[in-house]
Amino acid sequence: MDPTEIIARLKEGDGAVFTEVVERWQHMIYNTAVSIVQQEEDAEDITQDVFVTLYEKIKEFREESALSTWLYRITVRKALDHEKRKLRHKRGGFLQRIFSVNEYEEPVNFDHPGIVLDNKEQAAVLFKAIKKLPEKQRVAFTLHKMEGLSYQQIAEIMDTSLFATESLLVRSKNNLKKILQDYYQQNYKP
Amino acid sequence: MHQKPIEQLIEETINSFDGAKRAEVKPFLLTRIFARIQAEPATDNIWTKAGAFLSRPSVALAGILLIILVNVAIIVSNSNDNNNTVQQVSAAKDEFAINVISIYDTENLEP
Repeated sequence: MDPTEIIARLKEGDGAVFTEVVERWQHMIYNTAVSIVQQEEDAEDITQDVFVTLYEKIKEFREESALSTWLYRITVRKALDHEKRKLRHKRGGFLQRIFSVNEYEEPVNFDHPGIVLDNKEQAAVLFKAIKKLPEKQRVAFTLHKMEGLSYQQIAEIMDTSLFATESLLVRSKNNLKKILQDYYQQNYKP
Repeated sequence: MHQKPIEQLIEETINSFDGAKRAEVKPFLLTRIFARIQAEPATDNIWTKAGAFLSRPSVALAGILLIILVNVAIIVSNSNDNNNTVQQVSAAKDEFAINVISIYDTENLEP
């Protein structure tokens, strides 16, 4: 089935096509979400949320980009919104922290299930470092490295130019090098 | 690993995502999505939309502020009206020389 037909049938509310779309893109969405939020349960919630949005808002999709690009955009936006909500909750939860024992704690290390075993330790350090990058650099780097997307695809998802995307990726790598330099100077003795 | 120079370690760390596979979501995602779609309240209803709009913290706070301002305005305007009424009454009293004469005053009139 070609993409135009998929979208047309989704707009008609075809359940079989919706099922096909979920099965086709579920891992792509989950992997993007989990790489950004670095929490498996949260990423699963976001994945569900993305498909619920697809189901409800498909009629508003203007087909100016590919369906996968649109899904990536929704995923990135929801993942970032989720992080902001969590951060607000964390900052505003002072009184809650005093009276509650079930305090929210940021995981120390994130173990992405798809990382090669030999790289697990360094990948955990990299995930921590990525969290310190500015939002756009973080998204561009994650999409490039974890989803293997090209600069052009990232530019479409982030609604920016190819040049700006290249620049974002160069800056993200430079910033990561600085962050890692600091980290290893404190935690590693050659 | 602890014999490498830091520069090499940094380079290796930046490339540590290479060869990573996609993380896979747990099975039966579709069932959970359909359950969630059915559980979602209908948002097409105008009253639902109005309720959702009014329950936004910014809208609710603005509403409360507006009510407080209206109350203050009414209290201020009422206190001004009271002053005006007192002034009008005393002006009328002066104009018509309305004086309350008590029984003692009447008695005192007699020498």
